[in-house]
Amino acid sequence: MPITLEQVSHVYQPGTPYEWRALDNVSLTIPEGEFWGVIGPTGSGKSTLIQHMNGLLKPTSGRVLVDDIDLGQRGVNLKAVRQKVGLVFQYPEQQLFGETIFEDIAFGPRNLGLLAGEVEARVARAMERVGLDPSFRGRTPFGLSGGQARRVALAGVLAMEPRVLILDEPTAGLDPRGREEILALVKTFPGLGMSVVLVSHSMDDVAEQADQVLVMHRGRVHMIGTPAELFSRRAELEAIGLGVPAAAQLVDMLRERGWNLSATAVTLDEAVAGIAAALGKGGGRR
Amino acid sequence: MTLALDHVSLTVNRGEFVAVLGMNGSGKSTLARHFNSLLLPAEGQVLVDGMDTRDEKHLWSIRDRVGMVFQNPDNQIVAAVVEEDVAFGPENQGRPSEEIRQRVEEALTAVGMVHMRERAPHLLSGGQKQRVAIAGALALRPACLVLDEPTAMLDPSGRREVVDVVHRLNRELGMTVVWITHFMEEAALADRVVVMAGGKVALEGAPREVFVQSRRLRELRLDVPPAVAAAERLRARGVELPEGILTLDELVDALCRLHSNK
Repeated sequence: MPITLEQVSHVYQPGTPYEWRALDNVSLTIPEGEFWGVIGPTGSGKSTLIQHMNGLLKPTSGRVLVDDIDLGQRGVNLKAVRQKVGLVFQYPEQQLFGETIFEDIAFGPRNLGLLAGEVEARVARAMERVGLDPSFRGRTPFGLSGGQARRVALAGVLAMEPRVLILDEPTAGLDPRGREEILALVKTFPGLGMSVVLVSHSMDDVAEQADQVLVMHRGRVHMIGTPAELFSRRAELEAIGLGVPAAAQLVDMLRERGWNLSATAVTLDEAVAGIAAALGKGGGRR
Repeated sequence: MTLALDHVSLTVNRGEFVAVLGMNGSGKSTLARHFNSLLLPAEGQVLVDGMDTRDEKHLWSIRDRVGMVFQNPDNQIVAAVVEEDVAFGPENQGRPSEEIRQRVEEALTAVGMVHMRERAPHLLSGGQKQRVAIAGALALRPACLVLDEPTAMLDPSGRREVVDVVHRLNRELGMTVVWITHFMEEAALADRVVVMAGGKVALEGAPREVFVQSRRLRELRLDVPPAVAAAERLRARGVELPEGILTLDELVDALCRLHSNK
């Protein structure tokens, strides 16, 4: 299910002294089934952008098309759109409220008016997808560890069976392993037929997985490209307050010192392989 | 009953920069809140400059000495103007207005925000807000700052700003710093690293001592800084790097020495 933005601008509090153009003439298409990373400094318009993708915000000018349907058209069923485009906000575990984990995850599907059997099946599927053991069903969602609570919140959105999943900083505040676990999980979603849009401050989060990375700056599309294309442009990213993954930074620092390395490494393994080869250790064990 | 802290013994020395690591739920924040009597120990004692935190008559002297900065800058800012926000603490202490002015000036200078003194905090970037929060703590002229994941919600440049400011306070003013974080590369910059697990101190030492124990750290759901991970993988491929590499700069220097000797 593709999402297209055509010349979208969004102005908060227009006509007041607080007028703020959060999005400025943004055009892009996220094709079906792709994994996109969205990065940008604080205030660059990332959150405003993703809230347009399921109709939570309406553009001040321009059009948003989800599955070729113009969300601004009269009579568009936004509820149906939000079911197809799931949005996971920052710190989603703060929104848990159910008495049990089952109740919490079942809330959305029940609101769709599904039969009890179908609600059961969806909750079970969602729990399986996020790696929560069925024995968690009857437990309270409060007092879970940070990573587990986040899985429950994610399962609540997955139970709506969206075609597109948008995640805003899904790893913020998690310990390194929790971060890896959530990222590994999100990585499986395109294989299940979902497009993924992952918003992050962490370049490492998007380097490892994204098909395309969108860099936002001052409400505009600053760059779009594959991780390898973007992260070889370290100076440009640093100029707007972003960085590159540690692996790309390492390669870049060595290139500045005269090493003949390819600038396309985005993961640590790629960087290490290139460096070892340059030192004549290319055939070493992995 | 589970113990959030379980028989912890720890000394933070004057002028030291201590990083505290640990998985979610390991007791880091509970520990931090014991440093200025926000929490009191159920058993054992916490001494700040020799003062027992359970002794109520010391409460305010302890809080004057130990300032706290939390994760979310938006939850810590109370005023509509930056300098008024920083003045909040000394005003509450009933300081004379001339002294308040001086302290605010000093605190904002220390975090590099003096030029933004008349701005509205909600219009600042995350890193700037967090520096205002730090200035608010500094206005009480503490001897020690305890920062609980101060960079968790910031973008890369905001993180760099806050890291730089706090390291400068430590270096130039001798401020004692306790820095809680999930970012291993931030911990690598500390004098000493304390790793919490299950409410106990699981590992402790200079970054070079702690970050060579990568297997143990991974068992504790942590990691090593990227430069350490890269050095490990290069060694596994037969690249003869010296031990104790912590930062990308050190790694690049070591690699360049090998490269020119090739």
